[in-house]
Amino acid sequence: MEFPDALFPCYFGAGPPREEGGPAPAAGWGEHGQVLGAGRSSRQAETAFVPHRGQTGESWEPADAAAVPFLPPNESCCIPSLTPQDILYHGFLRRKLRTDKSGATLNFTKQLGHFFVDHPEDAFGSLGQLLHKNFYLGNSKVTRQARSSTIRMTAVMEEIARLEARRLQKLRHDPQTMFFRDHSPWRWSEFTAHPRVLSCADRTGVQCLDTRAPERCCFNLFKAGEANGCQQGERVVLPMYLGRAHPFQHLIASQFSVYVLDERLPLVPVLKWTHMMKDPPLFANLTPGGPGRSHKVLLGASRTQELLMLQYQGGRQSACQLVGPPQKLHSIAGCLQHFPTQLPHRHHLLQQRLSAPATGLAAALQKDGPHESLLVFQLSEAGDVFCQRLTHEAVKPPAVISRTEATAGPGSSPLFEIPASSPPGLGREDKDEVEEEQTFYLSNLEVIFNEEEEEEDADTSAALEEAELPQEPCASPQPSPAEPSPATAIRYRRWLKALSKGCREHPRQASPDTFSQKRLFTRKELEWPPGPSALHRQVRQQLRQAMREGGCIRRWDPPGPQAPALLQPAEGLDALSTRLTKAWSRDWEQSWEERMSFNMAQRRQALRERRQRQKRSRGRRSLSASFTSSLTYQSELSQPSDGAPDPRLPKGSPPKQGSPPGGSPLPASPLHDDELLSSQSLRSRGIPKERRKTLRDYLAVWAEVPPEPPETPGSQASQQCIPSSQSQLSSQSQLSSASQPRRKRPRMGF
Amino acid sequence: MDSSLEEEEEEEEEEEVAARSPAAQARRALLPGLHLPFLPPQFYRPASSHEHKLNFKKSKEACLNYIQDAILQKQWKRAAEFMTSYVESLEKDYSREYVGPSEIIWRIGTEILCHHSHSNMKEFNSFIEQMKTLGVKRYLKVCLEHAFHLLCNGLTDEAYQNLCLAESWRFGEQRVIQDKEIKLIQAYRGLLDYYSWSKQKSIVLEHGQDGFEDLSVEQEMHGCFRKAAVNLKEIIEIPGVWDQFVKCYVDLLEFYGDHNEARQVLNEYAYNSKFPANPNAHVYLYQFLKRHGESKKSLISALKILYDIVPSHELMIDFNIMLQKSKKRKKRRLGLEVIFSALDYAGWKENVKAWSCLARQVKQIVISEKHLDWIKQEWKSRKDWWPAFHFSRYLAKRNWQENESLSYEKALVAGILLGKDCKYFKYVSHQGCKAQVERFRFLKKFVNKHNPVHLRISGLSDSSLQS
Repeated sequence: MEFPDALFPCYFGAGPPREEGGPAPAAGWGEHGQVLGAGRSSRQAETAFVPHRGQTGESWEPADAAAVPFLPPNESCCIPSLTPQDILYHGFLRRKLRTDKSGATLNFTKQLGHFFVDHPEDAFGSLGQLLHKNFYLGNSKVTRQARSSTIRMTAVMEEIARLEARRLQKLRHDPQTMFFRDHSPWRWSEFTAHPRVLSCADRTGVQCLDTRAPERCCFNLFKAGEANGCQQGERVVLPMYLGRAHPFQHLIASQFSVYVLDERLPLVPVLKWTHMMKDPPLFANLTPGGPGRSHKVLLGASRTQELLMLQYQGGRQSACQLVGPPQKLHSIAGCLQHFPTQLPHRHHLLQQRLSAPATGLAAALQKDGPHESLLVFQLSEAGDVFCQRLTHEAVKPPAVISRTEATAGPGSSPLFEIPASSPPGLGREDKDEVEEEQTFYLSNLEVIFNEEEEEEDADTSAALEEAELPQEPCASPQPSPAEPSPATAIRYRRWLKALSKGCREHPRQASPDTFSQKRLFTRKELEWPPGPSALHRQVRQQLRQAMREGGCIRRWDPPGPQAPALLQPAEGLDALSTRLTKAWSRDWEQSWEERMSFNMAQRRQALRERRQRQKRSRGRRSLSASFTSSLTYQSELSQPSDGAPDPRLPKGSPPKQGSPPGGSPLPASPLHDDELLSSQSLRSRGIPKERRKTLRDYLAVWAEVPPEPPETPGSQASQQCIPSSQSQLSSQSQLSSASQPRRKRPRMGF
Repeated sequence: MDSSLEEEEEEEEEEEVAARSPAAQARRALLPGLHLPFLPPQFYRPASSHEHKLNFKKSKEACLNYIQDAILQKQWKRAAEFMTSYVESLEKDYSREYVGPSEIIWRIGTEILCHHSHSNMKEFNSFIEQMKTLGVKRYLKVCLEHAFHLLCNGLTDEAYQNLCLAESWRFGEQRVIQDKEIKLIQAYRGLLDYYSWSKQKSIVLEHGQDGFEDLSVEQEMHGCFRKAAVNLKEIIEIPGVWDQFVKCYVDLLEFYGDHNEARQVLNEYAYNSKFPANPNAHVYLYQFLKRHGESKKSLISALKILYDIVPSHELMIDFNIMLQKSKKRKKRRLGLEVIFSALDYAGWKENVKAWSCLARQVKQIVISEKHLDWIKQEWKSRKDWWPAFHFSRYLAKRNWQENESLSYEKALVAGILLGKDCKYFKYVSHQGCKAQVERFRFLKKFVNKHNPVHLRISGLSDSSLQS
């Protein structure tokens, strides 16, 4: 077997790793690494040099704007994950599933049985991987405690022993890691170029051992911390045998770099690249290239769903080279923007679903004459499989991709036909569905709130994304957002529909209670009438009546069976938020008592002094100011064009007159209802005496009714009936979106 | 109503407390520090330099993320646009991290310029020249990479000038990493000197043939030799993989007749335990010995070491042939071991040369009926997996279709090792006879004649004879 007649130069035994932890942020770019004079210089001709990295590679362009769902959403993700007992106790699983309402069928043993029949070789390996912890191969009895998770395989062992003298052999037993101490119990083993030599890996490195004499014949293939230019704390996170590309090559990924090792030159990586991934690559896939072609390696991270494609070549006549710039592929979370607009809580659910950590990676090469495409599948923890297609154009220059090709997309490929087992909702005609959804959006009141909510949601989520969600943490504003093809768009919609249907069936994932206003107003009704309509009149009348009676306007939205979920005060809330939260949950009085009794005397004096000051300075505030504050809030949301506010800033503080917008050094104090109720303050606001009672009565109503979040006095009193219902709904959905503690934002003007 | 007032006061107080809280401060830190003349002085609080740094760091990181994203999606133009913003970070570099923005700018800028459709070598050079002045710690590395880029674009002279400049650069105390870089710079300069020496050598040799003698060219050639030899010699003494430097240096030494030095260099490169077990080191030594007509013994000992470290090396064919020819039993025995070992590897499965080597030696042993125990010993550790690995019916079919010679050699080996009933032999000999290929008929005859051998090889002979 050929070995390159000259390798790229490198230092060996580079000594201890560099002191500084972690590689530079852009350490993978801008380097050729080394160069190699290719071929002997013939007379007069200049020697050609080839770089270790940076030579042009093959062009593989994504065929669509984002990954597309390959299968309908996996509904069985709600089934509890398998435990050893599920496998050991026959029948248990079925019982467990029967109690589950999901109706999904998962018969592990049966599935494994089929797998054995169809792919006996693969099944043997995977069964070993799945069950090795639960098999006891010894001769003695299994203890009672161990019996719950371990099965005795002695009979099978004897059976095997009778068949042939060999077949199971302990190759290695070492509770310690290989080269230095590391706590990770993680181990890995793979084949090598020699069928009787296996590789053994742990976090500290890779060793190859001969199964014929595992004690004596072994050599070190890779030692973490000793490779040239490695980093402190660098550990092996994934080894993979690249046998399909080259029988002697192994891929070793650490949290910082990827290495290609050649068994014939152990300890000296023939290729190294700092991958700069935010999360270590836990999955890898190899698509070998034929003679003269590059091998494609896909690297996938779990939590961040990152997906990178590298190309390399060499190892036979010529030395190994990394070719072409490494390329980022679409992640599952990246397709969120291509889904139809959602209600905030649905959007959030979808976002969560799509940003579930990746758990697997696969790729298939499709050849159609000169056209080649690489189908890349990514599996998420939620059980969803998304697919993307990369097309290779051997003739065309890389920049030119015909539009038709781009639009063809995976959606139009026969591979992507909806599987027969898809839920009934998926099989409908596309046209109908599109129309239906359009009516949905036109006739639906939600759309109005969606606009406001989406914004808020986008703002909040943008701020949260960085902190918590893996959803494209570094996604930059797209230069010209590539749109998915119509066929793909329909796939997204279908998938989403199936997802929301599946979610509804599972009470655990139920969205917060919402009012159904689907058919509440038609589009026509929403059009602003030239004069006050009958509805307006009617509603006004109701409002007046309610004020007279001191009642509550609740004609048309009967409260749901349950009160909305109460806010769970997150730790570290400021005092105001805590108080507001308490107010919602109606034990505000109690908490107030607690607060007041707390060094009351000490405070009273201070308060008195401040009161004097406040009295002098008050006056520019008015009742209407408090209303405008909430109005400002609403309009602020509906007018994003007025300079996008920083999402991380609290938006609730109403800008005071004369203070710079967004630049106020001190947040304005909120105007509280109780403040409004005091005669003093009402007088000072110039409200006539006869109206003070009305107002007070009116406002007092809110203290009596159950704490329904929608009916906030500020917005209610200041707005028209229909807008008031808007505000109702909007605050309702705000609340529902705020039921997640981390989505909560300080907000004043309630 | 008093209580409500107090509440109000209380609330405001809380507000103030909240405004002083770290969270509020952090929030305000994100706001630009505005100076507004109409605000009372106590309202005006300039953002501290710490806040500035914090803001700046954040936007710098965001910008870097955008650039990374664009590069990874091959959006070079977009990356370049973001890059222009990122360059600002140089002016306000507060970081004391090891990797400052100037390194990032150098790396990313280089990457973009290498791929951007509008970039050219002139622009690239001017960018790199600016980068060289940005950080002393990185100067050598940038120079080296610049030279690489020029070399890959065929600009050898420019690369040479760059390397010379870099070599003469000195700055303060050299760190370990800089020491390594300067050694590499010198080595590459030596390599370029070697190439120009090689060019002049061919001119001189050509002229010599024509009867002309150009003294100036010859002198220049010797000058190149001296420059190259000094620098190449230096790097190859440091543990590492220096294949091309070693080859060039040995070529120089050989031309000037310094065989001892050449041999010493190659020995050192192959056998110094501080160096990695590089198969090429042994190959170079073997080739050198062969070129100089060294004895079989020294050739064999050189290859024996290569066999020990890489039994799958292609030179194992040569090694086997050499050993088979030997008169010593021990060497012939080693030859059999070598060829068996080579064929263990997946990469050799379809190598006709290797199979014919094995077939020839096995045939010899069977005919002479001596040393069947050698085969027996080799076969012992392989009989449980070679049949499936090499001699399956599927492979017989494929080998027959794709490479008749291969199937012939393999069938011979299979017939002897596994007997005439083995699948591989049966299929291939049948097909060969059917196609009326003469040698397959001989093959069938030969295997039939020596069929009992496989029983002896498998260790079944005694029991079978007894029964």
